[in-house]
Amino acid sequence: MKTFRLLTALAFATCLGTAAIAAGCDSSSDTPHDPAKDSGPADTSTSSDGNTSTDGNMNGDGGDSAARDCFTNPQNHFEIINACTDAQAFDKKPSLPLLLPDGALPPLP
Amino acid sequence: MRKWSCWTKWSLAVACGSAAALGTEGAALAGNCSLLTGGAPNPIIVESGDTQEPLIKSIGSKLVSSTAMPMRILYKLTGSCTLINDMYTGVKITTSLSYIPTPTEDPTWDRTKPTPTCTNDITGGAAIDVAISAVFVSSCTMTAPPAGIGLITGPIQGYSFVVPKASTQKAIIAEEAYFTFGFGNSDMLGSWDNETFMFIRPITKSTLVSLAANIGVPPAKWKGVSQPASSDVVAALTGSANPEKSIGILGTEIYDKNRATLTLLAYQAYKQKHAYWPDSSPTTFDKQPLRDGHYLPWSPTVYLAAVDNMGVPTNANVKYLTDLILGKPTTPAFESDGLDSVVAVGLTPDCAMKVTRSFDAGDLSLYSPAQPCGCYFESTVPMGVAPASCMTCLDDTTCGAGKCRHGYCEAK
Repeated sequence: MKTFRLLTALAFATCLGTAAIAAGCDSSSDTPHDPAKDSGPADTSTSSDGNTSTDGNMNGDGGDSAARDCFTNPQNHFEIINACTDAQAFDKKPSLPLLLPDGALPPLP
Repeated sequence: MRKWSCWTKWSLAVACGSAAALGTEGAALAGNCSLLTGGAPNPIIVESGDTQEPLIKSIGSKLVSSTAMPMRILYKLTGSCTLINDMYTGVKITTSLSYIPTPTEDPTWDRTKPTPTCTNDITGGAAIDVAISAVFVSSCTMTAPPAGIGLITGPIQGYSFVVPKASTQKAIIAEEAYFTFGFGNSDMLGSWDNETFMFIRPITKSTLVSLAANIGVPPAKWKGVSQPASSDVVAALTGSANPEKSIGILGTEIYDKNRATLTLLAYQAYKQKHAYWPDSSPTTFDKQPLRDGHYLPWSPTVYLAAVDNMGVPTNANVKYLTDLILGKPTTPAFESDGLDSVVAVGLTPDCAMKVTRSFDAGDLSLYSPAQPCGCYFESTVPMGVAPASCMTCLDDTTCGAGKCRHGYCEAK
């Protein structure tokens, strides 16, 4: 029972930490994106976004989630649209009140 | 008195001559279409989406004054889905036609001016030689083309969300566009939430059809004020009483001509991490993000024409025109590179693309054109400079294992 409580607490703490990181990632509003972040050394880590099977090398050092957001050797749609580029980008995080609780789009009226 | 009388007669003669000349020119500029299709230069009847009119005028002005292959384009603008149906069902054009005047008919005309029209007196209507859609045919119909009608992929057409220059908005993400145009007044966004300031296009028009596919709002579900022409969207935005609430949709080449008064919004597609402009920055014209897959709202133009078993247009004039627009060699050789007109009007040749897709808003995949023209494209766009890796050439001999294409060594 004590072990179970410890595991529960650990899981809760992990969730809190993840949520905090996610909140940090989403806290930016309308800002120009720095392409320099897309030009770091390549590694062979794979994407953690969605269920896409990735072969494209992902930029970053493995610890900075902000930098781990582009692919140096894109192979599929997800990697192509998120490939590293020197083109100017823009980050916008608008408030979308009509999004469903699970983040899905509601049906059109 | 006699001298005065003579002067009067001379003046009268000049005046009458001028009037006669004007009368002749006026007749040619507003006469019957049969007078223009019955002789030289070779006539070609085109039905096209309005986004392609700048290309028709640009390449048409070169063709009509060509000595190598004089050709006159007569055309009608309509929605892409309408013209696809017309080609599928053999509809003929019975309304008036716009046409490119010869230098003799109007020495002052150039592609920046409106084209004259003729009264369509062609018995039974004018058969369409080639129709130009600015979306995939599958966005309008899932029916395969009738036997003998082929689909030829042309230059790439970019589409965009635009706002008045006075607006502070810089970008739009796909989800935001879904709510804006799918929910209108009730989108609860606080930005674009007034349908009277949302300027869209009719549901048969490529601009709306392509963007609809990208944001996942079917054409018939779009909220906003439908504008008959792209120029009307420009006028509505620039004249808006509430720039911050205003938004419209345009082909990127139309935006390029109106950069002084409009702002193109960077677009972030579903599953994408950042928003991008079609060009590498808001002030360039290189279409880099559109070409490499970072800017997703685009469709190919599709040329529908009668073809043989090999997919080659059976009408020699259509074959010549499509070869010119695709940058292929032509016989007889044309006076200029056909791609010049394509690039000049803001389209992107297929040979300059690095990604492709098989239907509107479909997933992108890597693309290596059979006859690449990236160096030429990057050097030809406004403010364009060929990358250092691009070597100029006159023929293949200086290109090693590569090929000399449009003045630059390409890999193949």
